[in-house]
Amino acid sequence: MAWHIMALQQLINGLALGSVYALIALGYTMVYGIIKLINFAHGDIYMLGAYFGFYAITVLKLSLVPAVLTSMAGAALVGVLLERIAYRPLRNSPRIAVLITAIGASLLLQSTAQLVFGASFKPFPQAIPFRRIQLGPVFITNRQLLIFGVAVLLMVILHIIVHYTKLGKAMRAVSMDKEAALLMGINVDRIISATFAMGSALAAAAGILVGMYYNRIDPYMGMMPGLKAFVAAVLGGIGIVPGAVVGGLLMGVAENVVVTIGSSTLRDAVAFAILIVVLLFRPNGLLGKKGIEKV
Amino acid sequence: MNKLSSLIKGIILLLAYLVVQLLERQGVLLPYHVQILSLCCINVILVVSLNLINGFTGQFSIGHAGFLAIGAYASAYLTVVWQAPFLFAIICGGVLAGIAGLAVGLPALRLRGDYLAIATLGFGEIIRVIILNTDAVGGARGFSGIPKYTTFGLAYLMAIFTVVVIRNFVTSDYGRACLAVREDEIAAESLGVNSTYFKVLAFTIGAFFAGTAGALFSHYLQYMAPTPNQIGFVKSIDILIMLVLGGLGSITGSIVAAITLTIIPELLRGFAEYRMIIYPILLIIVMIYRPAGLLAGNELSLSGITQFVKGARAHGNHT
Amino acid sequence: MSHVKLKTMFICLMLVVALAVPGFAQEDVIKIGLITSLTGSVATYGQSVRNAVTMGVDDINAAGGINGRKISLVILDDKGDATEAAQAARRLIDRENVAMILGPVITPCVMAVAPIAQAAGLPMLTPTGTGDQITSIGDYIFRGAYKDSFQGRIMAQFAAENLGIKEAAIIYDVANDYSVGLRNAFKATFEELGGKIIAEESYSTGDTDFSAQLTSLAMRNPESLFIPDYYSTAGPILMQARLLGLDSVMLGVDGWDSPDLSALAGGFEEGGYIVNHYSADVDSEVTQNFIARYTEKFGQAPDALAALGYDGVLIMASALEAAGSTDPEALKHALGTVGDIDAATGVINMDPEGTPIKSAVILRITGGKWELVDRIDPIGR
Repeated sequence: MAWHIMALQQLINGLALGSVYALIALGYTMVYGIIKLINFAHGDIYMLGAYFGFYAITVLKLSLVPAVLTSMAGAALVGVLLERIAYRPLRNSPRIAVLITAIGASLLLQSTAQLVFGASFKPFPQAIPFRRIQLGPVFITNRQLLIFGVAVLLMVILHIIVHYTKLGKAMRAVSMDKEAALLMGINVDRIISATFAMGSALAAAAGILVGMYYNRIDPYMGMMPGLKAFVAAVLGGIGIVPGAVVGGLLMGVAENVVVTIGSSTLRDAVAFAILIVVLLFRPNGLLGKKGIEKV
Repeated sequence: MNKLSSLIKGIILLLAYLVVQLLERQGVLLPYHVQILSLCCINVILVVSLNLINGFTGQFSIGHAGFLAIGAYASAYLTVVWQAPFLFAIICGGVLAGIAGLAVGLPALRLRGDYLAIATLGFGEIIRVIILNTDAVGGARGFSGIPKYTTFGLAYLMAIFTVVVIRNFVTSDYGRACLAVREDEIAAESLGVNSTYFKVLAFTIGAFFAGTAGALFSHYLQYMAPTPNQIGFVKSIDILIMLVLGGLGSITGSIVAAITLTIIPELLRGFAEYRMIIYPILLIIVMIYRPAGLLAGNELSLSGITQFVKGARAHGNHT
Repeated sequence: MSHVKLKTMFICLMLVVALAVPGFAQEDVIKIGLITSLTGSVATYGQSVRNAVTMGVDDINAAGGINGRKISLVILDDKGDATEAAQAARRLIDRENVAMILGPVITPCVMAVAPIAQAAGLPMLTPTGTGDQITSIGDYIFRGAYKDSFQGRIMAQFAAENLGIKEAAIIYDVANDYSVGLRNAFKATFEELGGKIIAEESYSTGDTDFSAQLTSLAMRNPESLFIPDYYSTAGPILMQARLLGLDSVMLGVDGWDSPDLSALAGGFEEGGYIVNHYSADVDSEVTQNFIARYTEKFGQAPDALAALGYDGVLIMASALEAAGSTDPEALKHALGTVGDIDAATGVINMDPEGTPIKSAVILRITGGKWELVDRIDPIGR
């Protein structure tokens, strides 16, 4: 393989990895956009979604699409309950307090999953046969295409919901000013519940796709990808839907570039260094608008 | 009054130390307990120093374990490879961490809130990956054979030193400037407070003490592993939890929370798999009922306690 | 000053008091402490060891105990965290007054516990710790597993001499001492025997995407690929490697040994070679018995960690019997000298240096089954 062909192949790999980050980052950024909460438990809902999908396929014997829908519904329920029990009582508290309950929720979901589902690594049922699509000298797998396609599709759907529907309008109103939204007759509690339901359902879809892509799920699978997805969301500009996808793809490509041209042992360090440098020049993320400082 | 109260506090602290020593000699306190108490002291240093950055200056750092790592590894390298005296190693560990704090403080000039949090998290992970790839300090195998120099007495002394220095700092003019930066950066600037300077100062001092805590930690455990729960983001988050639980901007809160949260996992150890379910539930419940932390912005004080006791006595007399 | 603050202080005080109450010591039983990871991200390995150890202890007690005394097991969780493991060790030594410590499971935890056991003069035996440096901490520190250097060398010798491989590539976990240790040993021996390491790539614990590293490796088209890691990571690497078009001979280690490998690797482990402790088909009655009973009891075939955990109990029991008491000095001596232990992973002879002398086997995966290819008996260890 000549080096430029390999570079192209690595770009494809990087985009596929980036799509994984983007899928998780979408739900992250959405919840953040509406209620300004770093939902640390998002990565764990993603893990739960993967397990729900796993049991829907292996125990309930569902085929892939109904299994994904079941899992999304289950995760949405968990997300709404989580918000109701752990976050809502703290809505008027300092943001850092909610962050700590989110970390607590994350730990709780991890250990509960470990106890209920077992600590072992489970192979995910391979619902889609594997295919390799040759594009001249390079190739892409059907699963990589699927993940990339779903990430872009969900981004478009989410963007449409947030910007062109009544629900989205209400969400944006809540995001700007909760009290004013309440005065305008918007049921703030319900809008926030809906946000969590959507964010968690997105996470579940991501969990199943990624579980299938890598063929492995475990109770801690949400931890590192969750962290990386959060970083990706911040990189793209947190709270901005297309930003999550841009940030995710960029992170994926950057990581693969580091491996290709340099040392794979330093991959994570270089990825974080790039992040810090980008943030220094664009303090609100790549797609973030410069905030106006209010005096 | 102030001098008298300081004297009384000093006597109480000395008595506490003597009591521990006495109980240890009598065999009531086992090495097991003394080891936990030492860890409590190390955690107190970590939490109080993070409080200076997050609580008093209003920054949002979640990379505190990075400073701990620098102090821990640098000091261990000095005592193991160069046979340096421990005190010298502690100071060097602190100074190196302080320099790193200076470097991390600089991005803080441009970044705010969650963006700063991510930058500090990234910094912490970079430190960890560098250590992981440095063979001179053991790389992935970890750094072993560190002498056990950390005694309870030393950790206790360092914890008191940290608390006194940081308390005096936050009640000084410098500290007031930091508080001003936290409350309203623009207003502070317009009053002539150089917010840049104070942010970097807070990061440097906080990092210095985290570095000394790291030095104590590596010579306490005698082994350092570059794992997330030892020097990575898991450790940073542990420290953050202690800080927020105690209350941002409350030094006594930090102390109480650091001690409590060091002891609780130990008490729960017998519950095996259920341990890590009980702990987060406790955490969530406490945050729901005390969202601003156990001692939100308040301090436990001697006069407070005497007033409380007097009040209780007066109450008792009435009935 | 409020009620709450005083209450907080009071609770803290109570906690300290609660900690201070010493545990009760019973005379007619031998108390053994087990430190393992029941929670945290390595819990799956720790739980395997816990299962096997409790099964082993139950077996011994059912057979009448050791010299008439039953074993009572105190299990403490270390969360896979070195600091926690150190606390657990102190607790076992000071409060529980155990005769000996079994565990911990992963090397970072072992490295934090070993100096404490050594200083306290209490023997400890980690069934699974493979890091070379573990046993050099002191004469009270023993293990039940191979050293990384031994296993890495065996695989390199087999690849170079038996398979006649000239070129190898390595992909390893830079953040895991087990993986790094095996990679170092393999590399050194393979190069010594005239082989060439043509490419090396690494990843970090918890990574799931290896496509970038494997694409780089695929470009060099190596004759063989050494993957020193547990089945949980080796499985996905094997699958991704084959999907990316790598058709090298895959070389593995004892960490691959798990009933889950095949599903995790999507069947692509076929044709790979591993070093292992035993071969399920041909080995002794003890091995067969262990596998059957473990499978029946826990609903899953044992992995390598479970087998090592079980053997840890057998070594301990032999030593306790030989020592005739729980005197640390006698027990230490016994742990370093007991031999001919008919264990699940083969016949074990202990060595005062701390590492057992036992044979290794090379297995090849053929038609989804592990087939014995070679047996290396312990000479010139």
